Amino acid sequence: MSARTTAQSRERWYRILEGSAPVLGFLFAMLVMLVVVELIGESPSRAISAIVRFSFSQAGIAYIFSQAMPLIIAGAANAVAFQGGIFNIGVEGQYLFGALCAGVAGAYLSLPTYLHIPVVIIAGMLGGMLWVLLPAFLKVYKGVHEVISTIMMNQVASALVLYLVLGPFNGVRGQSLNLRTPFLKDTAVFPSLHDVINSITRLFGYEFPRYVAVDFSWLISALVIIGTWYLLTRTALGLKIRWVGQNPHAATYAGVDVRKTIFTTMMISGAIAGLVGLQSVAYISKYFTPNIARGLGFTGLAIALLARNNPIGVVFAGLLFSFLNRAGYGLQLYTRVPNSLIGAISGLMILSVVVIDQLLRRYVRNLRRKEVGQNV
Amino acid sequence: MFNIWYFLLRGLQTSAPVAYGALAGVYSETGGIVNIAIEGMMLTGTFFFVWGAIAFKSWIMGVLFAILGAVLLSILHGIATITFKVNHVVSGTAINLLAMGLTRFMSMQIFGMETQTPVNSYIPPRLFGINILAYFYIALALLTIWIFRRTRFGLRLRSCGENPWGADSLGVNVYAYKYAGVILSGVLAGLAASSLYPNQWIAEMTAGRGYLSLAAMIFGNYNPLNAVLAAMLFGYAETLRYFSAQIPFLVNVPSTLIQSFPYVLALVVLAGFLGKTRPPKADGVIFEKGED
Repeated sequence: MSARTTAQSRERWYRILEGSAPVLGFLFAMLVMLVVVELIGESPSRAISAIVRFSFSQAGIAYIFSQAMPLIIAGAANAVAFQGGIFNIGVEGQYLFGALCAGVAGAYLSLPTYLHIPVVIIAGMLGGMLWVLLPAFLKVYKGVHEVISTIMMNQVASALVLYLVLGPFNGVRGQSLNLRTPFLKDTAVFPSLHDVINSITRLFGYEFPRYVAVDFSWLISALVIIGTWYLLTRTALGLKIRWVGQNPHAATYAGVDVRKTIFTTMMISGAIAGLVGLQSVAYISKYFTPNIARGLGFTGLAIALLARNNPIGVVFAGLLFSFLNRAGYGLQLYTRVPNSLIGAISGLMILSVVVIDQLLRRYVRNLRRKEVGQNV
Repeated sequence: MFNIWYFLLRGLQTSAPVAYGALAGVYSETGGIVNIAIEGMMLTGTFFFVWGAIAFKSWIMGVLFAILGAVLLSILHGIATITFKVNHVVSGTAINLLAMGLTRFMSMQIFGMETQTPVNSYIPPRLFGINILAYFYIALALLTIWIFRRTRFGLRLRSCGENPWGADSLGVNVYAYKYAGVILSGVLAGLAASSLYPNQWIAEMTAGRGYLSLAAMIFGNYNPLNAVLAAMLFGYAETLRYFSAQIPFLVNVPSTLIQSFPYVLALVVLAGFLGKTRPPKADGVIFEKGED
């Protein structure tokens, strides 16, 4: 009896060890950041207080949550792809093109609200899927690695949206620096969810200010997370995706159509990616602009890695990255530390998480081997 | 008037960063290490070039600094992928993210400006109006072929990319060769950086050329010379942009679309390349001594 409980508690300890890499990696990266802060002649304690003051104020918390929404969606798009063994570095281009499609659908179609908003959302998803279609074909039929093809698609997307907004979908008459599509019709604009969300958070004595986007995209993010979690853990397709991701050869022997599964995985990932820009297009600015925040796809990649491709973990990792962004602005504002340090530190954080992860896994594996040796 | 001579020279220059980058990819992947980090290495190299050149008032120091900066990141990539056995693409992506923040941070600390440096006047000498570094990559590709086919180092490096377990069983120090491949990749990424635009550093100025290099490498089927020729195809495609006003069938194409021409071309080329590419057998495979 007691031998069994020690084995159980040991097993639990192993699990905790194996799962602690993200936390340790984060702490290591923060430590490095503070050392750098010290090296450039700023006091680490001032840096910490600047971060805390700027991030955990009423507005700070609200911005962290609000700006985490696109990051969470981008993280989910990458996580689904990773689970299927795909590196979708093209989330970047997919959301750019998806956002353009959503903006165009919102500005040029005339529909009643109950149709227009879903159409805008679907347009975004279709745009994302369209932008992953060619890489998916190349991957499945020509064996072209998706990392290369999706990166090319990112470059093409950048140029194409610029061309389309300069030309056919230009919403600004005459010369203007603010390049954009026409404004969305009122029927296409996302409703605010302030009242709903605040009625819940008021119970905890917190209220989201009106000037922070608390909008329909929060619901979309929640649905994306629940949807990907359900897909990956509760459906046959999700099981196939994970099999193919873990071992395509074994999946073939198990009767899985590997090509079809890879294709489907990429399409799902692209569809989710197409939703990333919706908060900006359909709520905050109410138009699409080529100057829309870039790089969310790459941050999403980092988020998925940090969350180990677990949809629930993506929520926390997304919030963490949103916090890091905010922390960067806090540093820039209140200390002599430039914002860009946070960018470098997030790269370092991913590296340290994966390295620590490998070290812990190896350590636990050795412990297990020793244990087996003792029992024999 | 369309000046063909000028077009050829200009294309040679435009191709240079992608060509050196493609060679950088070839060295790394021949040793079995997938290197997406070339983009980040190149970006870091461009900053280090300007930094070194301005600090020492010498373009040669600029080149050495560019190599130093890129090699530092390549060593980081090596430590992550070879010693700690992290997935190669994950490590590369993280390094690219790191490079973006790091260059901006260093620019801020050293020059007081985050998105660009002052203009650098210590640039490599020009021959017929283009950067002298643009004349060496074809020779370097031929040299690389010779190294891979005829030297002990090259053969062993290839064996580490094809079958590290076999190489290991024959007494080759696989880890050392993989490190050598990645570090040489860093050296070439430094040259790629030096040939891009030595006059100034601007944030994210590599703008995807590191990735384009990898496409060239794949298009060239991991052969050094073919990779360089593929890079030149992309480079000349990009050069068309500067001449579009003088070329009849390009006059009416918007410049934003011509900009994406090399990338579209890369996609078309990849699509038309019917699964013929053959990467080193153990490319991207994590090698652990004593495990199979």
